[in-house]
Amino acid sequence: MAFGAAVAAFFWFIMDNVPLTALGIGMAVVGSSLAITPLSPVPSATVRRMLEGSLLNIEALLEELGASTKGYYVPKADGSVQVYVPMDKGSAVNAGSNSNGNDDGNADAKGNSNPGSGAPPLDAPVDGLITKVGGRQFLVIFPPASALMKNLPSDDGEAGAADLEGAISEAVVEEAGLADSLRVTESGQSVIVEISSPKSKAGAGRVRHVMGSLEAGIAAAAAAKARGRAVRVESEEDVKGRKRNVALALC
Amino acid sequence: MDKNSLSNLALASFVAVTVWALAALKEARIDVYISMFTLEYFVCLAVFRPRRRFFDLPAAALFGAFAIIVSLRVIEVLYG
Repeated sequence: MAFGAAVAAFFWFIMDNVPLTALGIGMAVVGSSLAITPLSPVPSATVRRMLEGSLLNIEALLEELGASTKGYYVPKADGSVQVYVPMDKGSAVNAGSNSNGNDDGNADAKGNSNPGSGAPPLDAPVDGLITKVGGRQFLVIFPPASALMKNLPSDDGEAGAADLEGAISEAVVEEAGLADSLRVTESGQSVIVEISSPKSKAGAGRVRHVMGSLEAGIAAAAAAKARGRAVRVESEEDVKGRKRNVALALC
Repeated sequence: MDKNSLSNLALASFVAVTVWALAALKEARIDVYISMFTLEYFVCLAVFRPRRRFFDLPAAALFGAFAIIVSLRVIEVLYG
């Protein structure tokens, strides 16, 4: 960079040669671009394998505990995102029920979660592996890339779909390298994520049903963090093996 | 090859080809070169989306230079 600047100054002030001055400026631009490029970024394939490995542990845990209900990605105050998996078989929800006086209800009046959705509130306690919220038992899991969410800004739902797409793309494509690109469409309480060329093979069986595939899970976590609300992976559909459509529900 | 290296490689190639082509055309205005560098830099940013360790200083410098060049041209057109 400094060499390019020196070359440019030399040819501009002394030699009075514009093309070689431009060459010096070009060298300075390329040099400064090289200077601010990370020297040894972690290869995305390595990140992907580590994330897949963490999902295998969760799969074993879900199998052992017999959890089979879809989980809620809940953003926490420290910037991370946790998954609350209901341990009861029925999906019926008692909106606002609070059988245990010490527990929080399903939702509060501040819009932290949608009453009746069954999602635990954002300040739901974490008392060990299984916690009780509003009379219901939830298995609390740190999903893959939970800590990655601390890098994402939270907009508390004030920004538009483009910012949501940016947040999900940052997590799934840029940070984790799990897809080539993605597109997000938001409609009311529903968020559709169209993922191009998903690369992970992890996320089958029970873990996929409860938490979604690796890509869907990270997208849900990013959406939960960006919107400041609980999010559930409603459905996933592979289209010709090159695309995956994920439906998320804001709760 | 990762996208960071690819981005830098593409940028270096673009800059080299630009200088060669414009010099061959006997272009003697420095603002033309800088405008082309700015365009190429932002094309590389948009296409490859390279990671940056900190604030993208060359992007800011090139954009600033480009803004000054455009402003001078507009002033020249308006006030002769």
